[in-house]
Amino acid sequence: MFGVESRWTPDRRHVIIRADAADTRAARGGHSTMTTAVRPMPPESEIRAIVGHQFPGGIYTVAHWENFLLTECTGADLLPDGMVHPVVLFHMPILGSRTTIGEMFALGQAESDYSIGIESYDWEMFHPLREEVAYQIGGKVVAAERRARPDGRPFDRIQFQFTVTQPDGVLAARTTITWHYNRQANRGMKS
Amino acid sequence: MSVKAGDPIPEWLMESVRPERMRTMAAILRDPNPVHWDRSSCDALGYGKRTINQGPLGLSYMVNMLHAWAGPGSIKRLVMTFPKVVLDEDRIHARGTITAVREEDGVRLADCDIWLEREPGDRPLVGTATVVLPA
Repeated sequence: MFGVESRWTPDRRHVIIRADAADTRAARGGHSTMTTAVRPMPPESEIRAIVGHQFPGGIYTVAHWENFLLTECTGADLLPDGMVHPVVLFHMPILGSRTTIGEMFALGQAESDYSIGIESYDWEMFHPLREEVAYQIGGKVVAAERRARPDGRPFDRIQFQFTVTQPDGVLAARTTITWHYNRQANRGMKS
Repeated sequence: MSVKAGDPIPEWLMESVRPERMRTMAAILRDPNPVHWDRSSCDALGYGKRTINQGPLGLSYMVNMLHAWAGPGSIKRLVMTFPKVVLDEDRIHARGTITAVREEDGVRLADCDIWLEREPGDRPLVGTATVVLPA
């Protein structure tokens, strides 16, 4: 999830369309465009229409093994008293609300996995999360709008919000993911 | 803990970002993006044969810094942006400074600017945090 655009061809070749990260541009002296074939940009009305879309929601329990591996990946020691490392707040809400990263990309009609840029992650933590506790997860689209960069390139700014609630009904955490769905198609077109 | 605006937060160092951790993370996240586990796909993007660290993993280095400083469970809020990517074998410092100390509902809080730094001035992740200060 960063500013690179590519796609899989029907014969499963991985074709890079555009690398947009500043350091990549510097390395290549400009956009690394290899092909211009991209999916058409969806109408803005279709993007706005996803506001309010709710994921099914469900229960998510972080098992000890999952917290162990997750924490090891961060380079830290396990936290005390079965506390779950806060990095869980990326995938736990997504999977617990019964969606996936791929479905979230598809909801915004992403041109490819690589066409997504991260604007921000906002994690609010009201109570520490614990292993082996069954949390209720909810998630929905709270904002979706078309914008343009200063050079005219369009993108759709889509914001997802998730809640993590304890079994006693107390809100434990709220996360907000804001992604940019970059549109290579109709580049520079005003809409 | 006696702190004031302008104080630095003790840094936390990831000596070398390891590709095998990205692979484990990709499986846990169910993130199929090959840039996190296939060096050849990164090479095609101009990063050389180095995989790209997941955004949440970079964020976790700042969590570790804040936990080491203020204790586990102390973080109330993190807002993070991702101007650049972190690559495997990068040496990454998590750093921060206190911007304000305040009290809310009888709890002392510190607002902080936090970031990851590869080289002086090269900050792939930048954000803010609010942390409960220990007594």
